[in-house]
Formats: sequence, C-alpha cells, structure tokens
Amino acid sequence: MKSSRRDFMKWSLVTGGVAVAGLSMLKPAFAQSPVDPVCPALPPPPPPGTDPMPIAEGLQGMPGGRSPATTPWLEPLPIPSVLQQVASLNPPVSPNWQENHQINKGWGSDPGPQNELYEMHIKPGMHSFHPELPTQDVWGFEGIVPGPTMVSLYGHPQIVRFHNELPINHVGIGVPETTTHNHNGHQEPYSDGHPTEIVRSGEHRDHHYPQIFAGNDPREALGTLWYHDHRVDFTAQNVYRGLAGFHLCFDDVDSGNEQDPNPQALRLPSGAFDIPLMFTDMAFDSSGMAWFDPFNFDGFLGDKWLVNGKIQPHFNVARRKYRFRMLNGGISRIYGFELNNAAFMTLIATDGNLLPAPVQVLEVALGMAQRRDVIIDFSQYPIGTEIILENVLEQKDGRMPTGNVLRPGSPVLKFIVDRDAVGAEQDFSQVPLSLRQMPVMDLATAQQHQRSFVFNRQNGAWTINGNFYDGEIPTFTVKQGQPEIWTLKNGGGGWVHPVHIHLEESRILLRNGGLPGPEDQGRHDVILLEPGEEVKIYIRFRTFLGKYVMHCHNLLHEDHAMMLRFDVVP
Amino acid sequence: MKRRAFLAGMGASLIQTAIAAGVGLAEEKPTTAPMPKPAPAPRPTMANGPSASRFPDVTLTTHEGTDVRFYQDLVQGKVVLINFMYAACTNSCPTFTANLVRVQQLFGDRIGRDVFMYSISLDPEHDSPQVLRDYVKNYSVQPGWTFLTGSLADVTILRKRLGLRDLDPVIDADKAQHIGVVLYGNERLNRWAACPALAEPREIVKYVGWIDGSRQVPA
Repeated sequence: MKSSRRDFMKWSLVTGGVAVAGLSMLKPAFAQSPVDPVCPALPPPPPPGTDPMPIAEGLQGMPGGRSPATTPWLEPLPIPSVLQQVASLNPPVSPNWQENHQINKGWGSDPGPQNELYEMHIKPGMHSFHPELPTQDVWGFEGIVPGPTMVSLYGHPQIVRFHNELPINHVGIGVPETTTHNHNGHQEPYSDGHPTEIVRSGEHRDHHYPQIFAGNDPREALGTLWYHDHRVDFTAQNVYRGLAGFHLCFDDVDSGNEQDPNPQALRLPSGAFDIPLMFTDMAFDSSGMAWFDPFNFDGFLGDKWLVNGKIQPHFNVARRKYRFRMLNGGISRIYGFELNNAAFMTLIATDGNLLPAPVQVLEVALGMAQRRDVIIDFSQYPIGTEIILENVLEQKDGRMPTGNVLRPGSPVLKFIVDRDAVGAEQDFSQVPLSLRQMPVMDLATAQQHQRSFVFNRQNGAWTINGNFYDGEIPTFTVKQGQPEIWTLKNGGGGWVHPVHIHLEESRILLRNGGLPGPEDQGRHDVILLEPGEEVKIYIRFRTFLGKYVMHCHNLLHEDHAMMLRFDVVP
Repeated sequence: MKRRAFLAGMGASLIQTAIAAGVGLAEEKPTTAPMPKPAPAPRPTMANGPSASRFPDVTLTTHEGTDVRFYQDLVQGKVVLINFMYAACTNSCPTFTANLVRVQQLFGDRIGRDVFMYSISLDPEHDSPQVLRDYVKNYSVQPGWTFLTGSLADVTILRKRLGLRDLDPVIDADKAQHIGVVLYGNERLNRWAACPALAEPREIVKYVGWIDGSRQVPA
C-alpha cells in the first residue's frame, strides 16, 4: 500500500481510552488486513514465507546478491544472561584511579569495597545466527551476541573492567580496538567510551558507573540503556560484528519486582517477564557468512531480521503481561513495528525512560539506538494464539525509509501463547496510570543560552555545521549545570539523522515549530531528525567535567565524520 | 497535535603516532620498490590477497605513463589512501588536493615506502598522464603519491565499487558533485575505513597510523 512520503506511520494512539485522529485512519486498514479476501484495496499478500521488503540496494556487491533463504521461527528467542559480580579484580584497580575518576575521591587506591565489581571480556566467539546458516566467528562481550545484560541499582556504583581480548592480527571487518560506551549512562568522560580513548588488544580499562541521578533528582532515573563499541571510524564494523549488549537500571520506583510491597514501586512486569529485544539487520553471503560493505558511506542495510542475535526467532509466552524493552541495535535501518493482529501495545518508556503516563499505540517506531519499552498483555488470547511482530517501514538504502508502508510487513518475531500464567508465572504486575514525573525545566535561563546545529551531507561525507569530526579540539564548551536550548536541524531532504548526545538527556520543546506529540514528551538521548526537520531541545550537563560527543547514530554517518566533541567546563 | 512527517511518532598525539610508525617499520619489512613500478610483466590474473574480492583489478595508467593493475600492483599487501579527483575541477578538488598535500607532508618519507597515496581521475578522457603530470607539478605533490587515469568504464567500475557513488543518478553522473572521501586501509588485514578528504590532516595521519600494522604482533 503506497502512501505519500510525508504521511505514513501516523502515530496512532489512544490516551485514556479516547482515540485520536491517527487511530481512525489506521484501524480500518488493519480491519481490512489481507486475511479478509473481499477487500479489493489491498494488494494480494505475498506467498507465505516471502518477505515483502525489497532487497537493499547496498547488497548488490555481495556474493549471492541476497542472503540465503532461512526458515522462520525455528529457534526460540535467546535471552542474554545477566552479568554477575566478581569478588575482586586482579590486578586491582589502578593506583591512578583518583586521577581518572571525578567522584568519590578519597577512596584511596582500593575503591573496591564501595563498588560492585564486574569484568567484561571482549573476545571472539562462535555463534549461530540460524540453524540453516553456518556457525561462525563473531565478536562479543564475553564472546556472546548480544553481550550479557548488565543489571544496576541506583545507589550501587559499579566498576566494570573491559578486557580487550580480540585477535590483534585480525583480518577482515572490524578492528580489534575498542572503546565501550555505556549508552545514555550518566558517567565521567574517562568511563564514557570516548571514540578516541582506545583500548588495544591485550589491554584493559576500568570504567566507573556511579549510578547516581543527574542533579540528584530521582525523576532523572534511567532505565533501558545499552553498551556498545564506539571506536572512531570503525563503530559500525565493530557493532556489526556483535559488540553490543543491554544495561538495565532499576530504582525504588521501577524496582524490577512486580510483588514489591513498597507503595512507591510501580510493579511493572518483572523478572522472566521483562524481556530485552535487540533488533538488528544483517546480510549473509552465498556461503552463509555475515557480510558487510566497508565502502558504503550512506548506511548499511541487511536483509535478515534478527532479534537478540537470532534470525526470526519465536517466543513462547504465558497468558499474562510482559514488558518488552525494544532496542534498535542496527546500523542504518529504521523500524515501524506492529503486531499482525492489530492489537495495541502500551508504551511506557522512550529511550529507556518512563513516561509520565502510559500511551496506547498501534505502532512502535524505532530509529537507530532508540529504545521503546512496551507492555503487551497476552492474557486476552487463548492458548495456541500466534502473533507476529512485523516491520512495516519499507527501506531500500541506508539513508531513510522510502515512505511506503508494507502490510503485511516483514515478519520479525513470533509470539506463541502456549500456557496459562499459573504458579510462579502468576501475573502480579500492573501498569499504573501514572509512571514517572518529569523534572522541572528552567526555560527562562535556557532561553539566554542557545546554540544551533545543522546536520548535513557534504561531498559524500557527513557534517555538523559544515564541520567534520575532529577529536582533538572541542567544537564548543558548555558551562556545567547551565540550562540551554539547542536547535537541531536536518539540513537535507534525502536522509534521516538520529542525533545522540552523551552525558545527559534532552527534552523536546518544539518540533518544526509545533508542540511535541505524545511520543516526544519523554526524556530522550536520541532525537530523530526527519528530512528538513528542526527540533528545539532543552538540555544541561551536570555532575561531570570534560569531553563528550554528539553524533548521528546512523553508524556509517557517525564513522564518516558526523560527530563533534564538546567539553563541559566549570 | 502537530502531525509530523513520514516517521511521525518515531518517536595519541601526532608525535606518538610517528614513533609508533617507526616501531611498525622495524617490525614490518619495508617495501623497497618505490611507486610507480616499471610496466608490469604479464602475470596470472588471479589475485588472492585478503581484500581481493573487494577491489576490481582493472588496468590504470599512472601520471608517469606506466600501466598498472589496480589491485595487484597498487593495493595488495599495502597500506593505502585512495581518493578521486579530476584536473579540471575548480570546485572541490583543489581544496581536497591541497589538504592531502598536507597529509603527505605529515607522513614525510613514509609515503611511497610503507604508505601509498592514490588519486584516481574521474575524467579519464581528458586527464592524460601528461595532464596529471602537470597537476602533480602544480600542487608540488611529492614522489610516492600516484595519480591515475584509465578507461572511463574501468574508472566507473572502480568508483562505484569503492562507494564513491550517489544514489541519485543525476548527481552520480555529475563529476562536479563528486564525493570527497578518502578511503584508507591495510590490505594485509583487509581493514578498510574512510574519512572526509577535508578532515584535519593530523587526524587522517593518526587514523592511518592506527591501522597501518604497527600495532600488530609480528606473525
């Protein structure tokens, strides 16, 4: 079904049970989904098993031209294991600890007792993307894809030792040098995974994640984070090889316990019913090996849909509520997710941060690096029900979607309702009408401190305000704690830029001069700029001093210089 | 609520580098033969280095008039920087070339010895070896940086394979709007990246230093 470019993926939603315009436009289309044979308006559904998504133009150079066929739903969705604490680090944390770290000075040379200690070995591993493709060499944190899930509790600071154990003489895609960014973490520059702070093979580096709220304000709590490699010029290749994982943060409100007796606790679906979903798209050559084109500066698209490192897995669910933490961990693809039964999902968090109130949605749009947490309630379905999560946004090249909406879309993940929620699976969770309130903004001060940034293409590479990334020099400095208003503008008409700012989140004040829609109401670390769009944001940088970056999270735009360094100064 | 557009709702310093490069030299056998080489003798067409499948092995001609095979003679086994230009360009090429001259100066005598620079003409029908020789002279390009021409068909194949393409066919065909990106890589490791031709020269030199093999353990 063709719709005009500027007019698809209407955000259809109901708030408090009242449908708004977008819903009335979309719901009939679902009601006339292709299972209804009398509907003439829709094209015939593609044969079963055929993916309606066009093959990405960038795969023309791949042996085979497209990935080998694979049978969907063969394997269960893998849930990454949780990274466990270690008793000690050997050798102990560097005596230079106090030089590198900005808070909790005075701990002496052994900060261990105050911190939870973790180790992460970045190393090769053997991985099966699909049983019909060869098991192959990947790079992973702890050698697995995705890496183990880090779980944090506010008030419990952590030291994570990242060991680079990648093969120093590696030949092929990726570079065996890493810098691990804790995406959206509130942390000092030394521990931020700065693009040029490279850990070489055989070396390690200790990052400190203090688990404190920005401004000591609990309303600034972060929830769904992820960690990934950030090595300058090679981020896309290294992330494509598998260097990414989840980091989930909990506090008294979002406590990760649906039977929490604390009246503050939200009691959202928890534990085995709190599921991270990392969506990636990859391509495999005629021999079934993962393939990547290092000579594509617009963006890279795969033609296989992966969730948590598996191509089109299935997930057996009980008849109860689940929390899904959706993350777009891919290079250049933007998703529009829908359930093929046209059911609503309850959006509770954007970029990992709980919204003031839940929002009912039919689609979840997900730009690169963005996160959306949704609740899906399977209690309404009889056992045996199968529901497919589909991507409906057609995209042919790395710059942006075409504007076509595909229904049915590309099948990505199948939910199979296979049991009642009894015993240990009984549903004690709830989705309160009020989630987390927003911090107060100081707009009066911010208005006196404005900056603007234009994201553009120049001679085939990518610029911010006409400049390419230069890691040696800050493009500007910003005073610690000073509220500012930044204008982010997409200078071009043919591409999309998901803009990511390190250290602190922003709030959207205006989008193209208009007030932000419900989906823009939260706190964001990735602002998606559609062609020509201009977004004004409120932002300030607290707690730490030093160098950070802002960049496009289309990783090939980032790697081809759409990034700038800024320094937070006293 | 304002309706949004189509996605509505989507929601080491230079000195250190130079030292590292020196170490790299000690570890690696420096290539002794300077470029360009004498005319290649007939040889098997099978090229089998780690990056063979990424590069078309087309025949090009250097600004000194020597015929060379792109992959086997220029890229295989080497650390290289590759960009595209044309002599009559008055728009972007002069600034690109001037910036790359600074890159060459920073590399010093490594260029032509263990790092090779190539600039390939987008206008091969006009850019004869003589035209390119004059260009080299005008920009005070030093030995070790080779300018190349060839048939339009071969150059186009090469350009597109190396990502120097625009998805808009009109822009793609307009060499005045050509892409100002420098590919850099180490063929021995099949390790490839790219940066803008106008990036800071010291940054280009640093990034190449990071993939030039000096961080490798001798095999």
